[in-house]
Amino acid sequence: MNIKLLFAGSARMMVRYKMRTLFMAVGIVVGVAALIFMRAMGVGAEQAMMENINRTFSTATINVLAGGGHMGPRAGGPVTSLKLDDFEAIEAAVPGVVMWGVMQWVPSQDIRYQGTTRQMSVYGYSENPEPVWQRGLIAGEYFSAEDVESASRVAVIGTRAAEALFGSDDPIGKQIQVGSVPLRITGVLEPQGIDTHGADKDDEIHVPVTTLMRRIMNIDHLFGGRVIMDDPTKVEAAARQIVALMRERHSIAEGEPADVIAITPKLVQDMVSNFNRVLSRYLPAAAGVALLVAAIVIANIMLIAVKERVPEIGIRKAVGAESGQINFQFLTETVVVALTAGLIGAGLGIVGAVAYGAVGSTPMVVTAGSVLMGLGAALAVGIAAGFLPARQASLLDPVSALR
Amino acid sequence: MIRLKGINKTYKRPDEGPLQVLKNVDLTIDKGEYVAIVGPSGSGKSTLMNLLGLLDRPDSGEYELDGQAVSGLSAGALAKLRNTKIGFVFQQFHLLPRTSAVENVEIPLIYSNADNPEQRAIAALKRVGLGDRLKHYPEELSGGQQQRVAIARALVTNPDLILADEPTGNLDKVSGEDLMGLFQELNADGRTIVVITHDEKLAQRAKRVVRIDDGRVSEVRGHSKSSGATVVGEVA
Repeated sequence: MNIKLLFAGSARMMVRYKMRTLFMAVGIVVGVAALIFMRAMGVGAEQAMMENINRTFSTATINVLAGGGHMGPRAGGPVTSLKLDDFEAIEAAVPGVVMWGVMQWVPSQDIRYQGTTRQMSVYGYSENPEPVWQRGLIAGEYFSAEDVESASRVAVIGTRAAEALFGSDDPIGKQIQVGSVPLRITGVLEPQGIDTHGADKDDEIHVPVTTLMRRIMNIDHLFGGRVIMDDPTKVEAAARQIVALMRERHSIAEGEPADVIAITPKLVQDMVSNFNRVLSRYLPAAAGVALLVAAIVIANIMLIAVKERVPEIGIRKAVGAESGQINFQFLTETVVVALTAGLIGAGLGIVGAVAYGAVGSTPMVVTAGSVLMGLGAALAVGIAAGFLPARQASLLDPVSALR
Repeated sequence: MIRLKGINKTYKRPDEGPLQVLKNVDLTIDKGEYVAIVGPSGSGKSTLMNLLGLLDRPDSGEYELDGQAVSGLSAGALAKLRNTKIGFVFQQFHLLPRTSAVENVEIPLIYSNADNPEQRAIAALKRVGLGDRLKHYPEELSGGQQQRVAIARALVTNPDLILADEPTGNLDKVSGEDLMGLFQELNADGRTIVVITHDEKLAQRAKRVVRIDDGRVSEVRGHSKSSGATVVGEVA
């Protein structure tokens, strides 16, 4: 069999029957393009989330949160058992702790400066929070150990909050009023934008945790804290040890749920990749439906084409085509259309994904794997859809076909 | 070239009883003969043609093509014989639409492994006098030219035997005359030609005429065994 002539013939059939080819191709083009586009979206989302996680969590980090780490109101009130000295106990009991910091916060608090009042979040941290919480200053200085010890009336402020309260004036040295407590601004936080919960990290102030608890909130318990280990491999064991230690210190009976949760990077990554697995499975599944429809359309068109081409098949058999060669030839025609459509779809998908990623804020990552998957799907559709028509063509009896 | 012995062929019909189309047919055609097979419609002409062309198999009897018994051959082996030994010409031309003359003539070469298919196709088209119509589509050619393309397609594998089924049936008088001249030339080149026809003039041009009636074959003229004086006008 002359393969070159065969492929040339298939290519000619595509060009000659333009409308038929168009209908056969359009489903595959759309399906493959959608598959690559959606996969790019899924991979982009996953990578962005992982980057975000890795930025907020160094791999040797354990976040210890009171209760389950609920940010909003909680049935039965907040868990009040987690205290400052719990973290001192953790440092003493758990080997490999490099440093730790604690945290409490108020979601929305009136902040006043002269005539201006603005609601913003107030966070309380231990001294020198930058290495623990990965948030530095662009001006001034953070509160010291002494400030925390004595619950000093000092604060550092986010850029947006500073602009709202002071306009273009230098915030450092300004006196603001948090509730009834006057605080002096000592520094300006580096801008960080919107976090994963949608909160504006530049519209908040940070104060010593003792100042927040004693002077502003009038409580003595923490929202949580962060423990940094010297070795990422120790993190999982340390997290279990911390929870056990807290159960012991807070006298939690066996069988009762713990009053703290220790969140490790692995736990977060598992949660995120679970979510992404859903994303990257169901989105391409939608593209799969398009490809399935394309396969049915192609099979139908080819079955009609075989009926139209009965005399042609008869003449091909008369001049010496074997059944297997006719079968192969019709299958080739379908596969050539499908693969060409697949290539066009892949091109559109890649260009679409890259363009969408460049214009919008959605991160798009086109992987070689998704392109191969798209082309493989096109090939599979071509073979699956061509199988039955090709078989029917090959089984035609030349005598009746030529009648 | 062709030796048929005791060939029978019966068709089953769903409503009526079975119909025996060929009855104990014996026929020998030597290499280089030009034979016309004539007979009324329904006489079994086309069935005989299909059997000769290896498109169909007899129920019983022996068929030797070029010294080879073909009864036991597989479908694939028959396809190969059709490809290499036989060239077909049909009443309806059976050219692929929207496909150039060269591409049409190339078709038998798709299924063989011949070198330079395009040159061979062009040579075959030149042989039938269509060297200036190579890229034309069938739709752009006259009936006579289309039939010449079909003959080029039959010639392109250089077969010994040309089987033509009513080749002038769809042609006007002049084109029909041309075609008969072409067949005579091909026969003069040494090819065996078997033509099924109603066309008296075409039958007259043949060296030998065989009549088939109600499934039985009889010599009309031309074969060494027959007188050669039988009047062709008997043939309807």
